[in-house]
Amino acid sequence: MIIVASILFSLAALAVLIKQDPKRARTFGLAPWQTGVGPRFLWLLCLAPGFVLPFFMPFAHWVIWLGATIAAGWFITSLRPGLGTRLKGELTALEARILGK
Amino acid sequence: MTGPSNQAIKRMISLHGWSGTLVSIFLYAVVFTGTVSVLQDEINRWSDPRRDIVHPFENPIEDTYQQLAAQVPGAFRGQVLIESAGDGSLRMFFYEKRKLKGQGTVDYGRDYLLDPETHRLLAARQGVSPHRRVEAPYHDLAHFIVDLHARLLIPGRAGLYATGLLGIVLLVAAITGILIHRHILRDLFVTERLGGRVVSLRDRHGLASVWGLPFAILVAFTGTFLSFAVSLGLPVVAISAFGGDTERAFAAVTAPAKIENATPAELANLDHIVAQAYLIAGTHPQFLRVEDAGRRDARVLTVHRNGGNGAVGPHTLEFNGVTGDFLRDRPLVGHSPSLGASTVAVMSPLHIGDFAGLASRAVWVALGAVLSMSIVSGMQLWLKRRGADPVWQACRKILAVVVWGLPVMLVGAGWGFFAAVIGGDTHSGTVAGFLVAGFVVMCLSLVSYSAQALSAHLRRILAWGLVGLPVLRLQTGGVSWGEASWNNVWQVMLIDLLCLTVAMVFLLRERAEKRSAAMALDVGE
Amino acid sequence: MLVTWPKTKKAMVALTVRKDDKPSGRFGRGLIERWNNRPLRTRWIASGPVAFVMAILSMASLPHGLPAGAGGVDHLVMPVIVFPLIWAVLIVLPLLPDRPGRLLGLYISIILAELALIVAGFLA
Repeated sequence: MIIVASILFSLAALAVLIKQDPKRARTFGLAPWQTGVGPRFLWLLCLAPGFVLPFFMPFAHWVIWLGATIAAGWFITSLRPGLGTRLKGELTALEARILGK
Repeated sequence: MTGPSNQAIKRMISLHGWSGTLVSIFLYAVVFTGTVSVLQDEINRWSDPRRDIVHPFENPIEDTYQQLAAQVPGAFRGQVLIESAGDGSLRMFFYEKRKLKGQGTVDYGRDYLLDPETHRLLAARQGVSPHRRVEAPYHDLAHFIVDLHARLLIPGRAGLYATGLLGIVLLVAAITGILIHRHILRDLFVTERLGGRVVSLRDRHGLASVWGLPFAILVAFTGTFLSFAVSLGLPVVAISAFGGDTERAFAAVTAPAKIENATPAELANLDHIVAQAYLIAGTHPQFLRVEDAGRRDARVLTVHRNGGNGAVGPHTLEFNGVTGDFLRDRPLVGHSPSLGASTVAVMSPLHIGDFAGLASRAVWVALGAVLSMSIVSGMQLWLKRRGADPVWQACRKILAVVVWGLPVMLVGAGWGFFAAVIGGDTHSGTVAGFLVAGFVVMCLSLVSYSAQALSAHLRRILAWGLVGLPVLRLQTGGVSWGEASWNNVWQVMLIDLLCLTVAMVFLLRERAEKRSAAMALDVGE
Repeated sequence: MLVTWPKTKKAMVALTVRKDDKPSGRFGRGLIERWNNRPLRTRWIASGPVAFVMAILSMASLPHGLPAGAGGVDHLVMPVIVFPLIWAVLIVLPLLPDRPGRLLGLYISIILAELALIVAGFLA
């Protein structure tokens, strides 16, 4: 459970980092998300479980935390911005098709 | 600090690209099959049609051990190996070290195979030990995939050298990749841009490679070690440090120091030892070894698989063979814990990812997928940059054949396996299925006019082949879902669902692409 | 000193921009110059066969230099573990300098030193 929580915690920090990343925003022509929290602090938050876990969890759990964070981090980064809007559009279209028929 | 010069970076890009290009097809084959073989145990259980399998160490073994020990000649009573054999039966092997002409020192003795539950005698023979690979026909599918991963089906040491070399190539690609990429942190969050242009592929390759970098280095390093350690490392060290005496080198690395005491003494109760071992390691032993039974210095070792109670490496528990007391967790190499021993112990679990059950394996599969993605996108980028050249145009088709053909061939191996599972030779069936699927892929590549069309065809075949696997498994007497949930064989449901989900993703994506293409056509008209 | 005429344009540039060009009759210096004049070939040799031989010899000679550790096996096991890393790094290194001659010289002298270490180990 602690492992799952720490993976989710790291991913949350990563999500904010992705949202406010200037280069990503520039590439897609968006305004970066302003949170008022510096990227350094967010990185610290993201990696914090990695510093804390070894002290009260077995080594295997630390490895799992790292691996899962990396794999899921790649996945959420590889999603293009505006996914929510696209999904919403798809769902509306689906609804229209079902109701239309 | 200044980085490498521009010229140096150009040279490294060329090494990164060319080393990748020349061998990337094989590298992809090894990484992809490796990702699949992370689920080796699950695939084994999934492809096994037997309803309930009892672990041999779940039942008491002491009485059977005593009975058999009374039957064997006195010379064979000293050393005993008790293990779960390849087909799931209980093996008891009573032996002694014997020097045979032309074979050196071997374990020679009597070998009994017993039913794991009733301990009914299944087979018995007398002879030399390396007979570990009992007929285990239901494990042939997973074994084939692992063999493809570990030695690319090349027999003997040559296969290990080949995959070791590929590991070095992956390491070199990772190192040069770091040195080339000067903005690793800045580009960490740049998602692939739309349009399938060179820059999009660059984004795709960069993203997958940078995120996958720690894992790439880890699997390349540990995999190269696993390939080279016994096939190259140990012989070289043996020549250098022991004048070429591999046996002595092996003994120096593995044999522990022990105080001899030949006074006769009864062996402790093995069931008590197995129970203690279960408490300490958290798993049943893979095998149990009795050293010098009948003497006061007897030892009993229980060797457990990787992981267990939070550890990453395997447990090798040492018990006093007379009192049955737990002595220590014996290091994998050397006679007391050391840096070398603990590093060696984590090499294989970190490569295979089997140290924390399904959790670690799921993570390893995901990381393997990222690494496969990185290799494939690297090849795509390389071809895209040379798009105009007709030679490289042809290579695009080869890329499609490899990237989608290999999964199709693995599914073909699965079909072959299940087709042969009733009464047939599953090993030949698996190989035949693999080759037939390969032949189909080749024919398709000859008749299809473009790489895109070929990829689409192969994806469709892959999807329907995956859908067919659970069906074929059930039709050939496989464990049904009802039986699986009754006997808690979750592996069956897991792999079935995995096949169906992957197939569905491909089919849905194809549908969506078709629809968007049709819509684009409508708009155009 | 015998200097072969540079075959490639890059080698020509490398030859002309050299700063510390002191005519020297010493054998080693001349050899390194010749290697520098054919940088591509030198890099191929250094990253290919020489890196491989050096990695193998490092693995063979380290048991004579490393401490045995608590378990009495570290000096035997650690070289086998680091062998892939050594090899990979040795392949990449020759790409870094613009004039790889000296690096090849360094590689070869390390190989000789390792050979000496192994022979000394055998004799001991």
